[in-house]
Amino acid sequence: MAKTQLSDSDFKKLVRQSNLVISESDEKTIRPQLSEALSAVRVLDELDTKNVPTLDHPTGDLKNVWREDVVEPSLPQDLALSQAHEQHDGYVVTKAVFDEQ
Amino acid sequence: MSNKPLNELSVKEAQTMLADGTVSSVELTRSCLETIEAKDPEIHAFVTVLADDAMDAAKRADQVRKTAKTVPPLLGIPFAVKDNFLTKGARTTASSKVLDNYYPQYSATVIEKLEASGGVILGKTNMDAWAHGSSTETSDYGPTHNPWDTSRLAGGSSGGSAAALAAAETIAAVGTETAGSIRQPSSWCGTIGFKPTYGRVSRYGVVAMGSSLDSPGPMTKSVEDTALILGVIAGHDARDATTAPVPVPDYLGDLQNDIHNLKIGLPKEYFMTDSQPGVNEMVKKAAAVYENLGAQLVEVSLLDPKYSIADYTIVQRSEVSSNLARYTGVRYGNDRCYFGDEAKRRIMLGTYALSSGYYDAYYKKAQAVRMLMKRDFDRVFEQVDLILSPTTPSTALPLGATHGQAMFGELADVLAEASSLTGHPAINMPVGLLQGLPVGMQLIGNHFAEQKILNAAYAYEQATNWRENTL
Repeated sequence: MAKTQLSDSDFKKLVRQSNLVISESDEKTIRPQLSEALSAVRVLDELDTKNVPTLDHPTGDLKNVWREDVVEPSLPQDLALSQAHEQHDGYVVTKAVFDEQ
Repeated sequence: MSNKPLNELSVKEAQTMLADGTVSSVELTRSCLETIEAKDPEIHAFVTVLADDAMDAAKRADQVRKTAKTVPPLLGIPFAVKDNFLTKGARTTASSKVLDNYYPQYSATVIEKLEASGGVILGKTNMDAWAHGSSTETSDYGPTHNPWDTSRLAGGSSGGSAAALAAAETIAAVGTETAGSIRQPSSWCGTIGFKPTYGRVSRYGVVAMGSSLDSPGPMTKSVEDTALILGVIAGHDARDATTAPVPVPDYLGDLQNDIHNLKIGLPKEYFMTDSQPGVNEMVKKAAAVYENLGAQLVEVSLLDPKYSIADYTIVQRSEVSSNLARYTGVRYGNDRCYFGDEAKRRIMLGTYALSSGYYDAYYKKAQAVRMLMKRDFDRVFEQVDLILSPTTPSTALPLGATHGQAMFGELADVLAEASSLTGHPAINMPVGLLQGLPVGMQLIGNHFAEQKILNAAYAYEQATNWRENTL
């Protein structure tokens, strides 16, 4: 079975992709646990899935579930904003996605 | 009229007493709240108790009963609700500090249906944070203790709901299951827990864990109660596109205990050699009850459950990483620093499994194996009506058992994972006490065969007194 070892740079990349902050002491526990789990799940390689389709919806046959394109009541703006940490003129204030000028 | 203390009543018993006027919803609700106050400091089944709201709802229910010609089926019945169901205006944490201060702006469909049916919500029950676990030990608010032995775990993730029932802090409860989260805590707490077919009950307004797996369901003291509540909460929901456009039968009306000619399969791989001694024996004894009632037992074979641990790990972590990506602390809740270790581990593993270059080897492979599992069940359901096995390989483990065990949940839920990945419905029924702790059997049915499961569970319940079956 393939052994997966997460290198230091793999781990750092994964932390960034996961949008998490992991302390150095947490990395010491989490990194080997992840490597172990990623190796353990490869037990699935014992099963032949050549030409087997994926099962994406357990009971099968729901596809393209649409509704009529009509306006229906939705969450009022003040309620939608009620839990936001910061608001401005009816908008939620977020951190800038791009670097500020 | 029942002589039981009010908090120990089943839904059906309470319903009868409410209808004939021997008890009011206020009395019933007060009895539950007093029990919570007395017992919950030790059990810790609840994260948030909604005492004032519950008493108000109970008063309204009593008022409705005085004036209305026909009353909805759950009018005035107290419920405990897992803390991952959004409850409008009432704190909903999913037992994570990320949502410590979250007061939802809308309610889950299940909650709307329970309330429309007259249910009174006592409070929000403890769970593993984000439902990640099988112990409630990953709850940011501390573990739930098992009412049968408070030095032991209640199981999880719906451990609070199961413990609240076992401690008679409520009349009924609802939980959610992704793989084992209703069945396993029900098994450890000696209660009844039903995981419906995936898509039978709406996921709308449930804090998402694994969206292709999550199934809300009833947790109760009797099979009749399960049938009644399932009938209320099941059905297509335009707000959850994965719900099935399949009519909801009258589960309670059609409940009957004649199981002649029922074929029950015992999968030999599910009576594992490394299970706790006594568990397999007690479940086989329960199977023998079915034989005496006229059912036919057949040995069947299913894929080795070790594959379901691996498959579930990949599928669920992948969906977790996607679902938890939305928690940024911007629109509501706290920021991502508040995630606990278990959530961090799951997010990272899922992110890895879905990332470019690894997707085929992990996620796609797992989804194909899921199809193999579905075919495996299809083959067995051509031979039998139901599958019977232990729910979990052990009785309740001591507090602390999860520490340092990154795969604890997967091992506790090894017998529930395959049927969750394939979306099959299943029930946990208590079958006996092993060294004073409950043992559970599960009955798994084909997709949408909820009635068959309920009837078989009812037959067992009527024919036995599980508390007297000891080893």
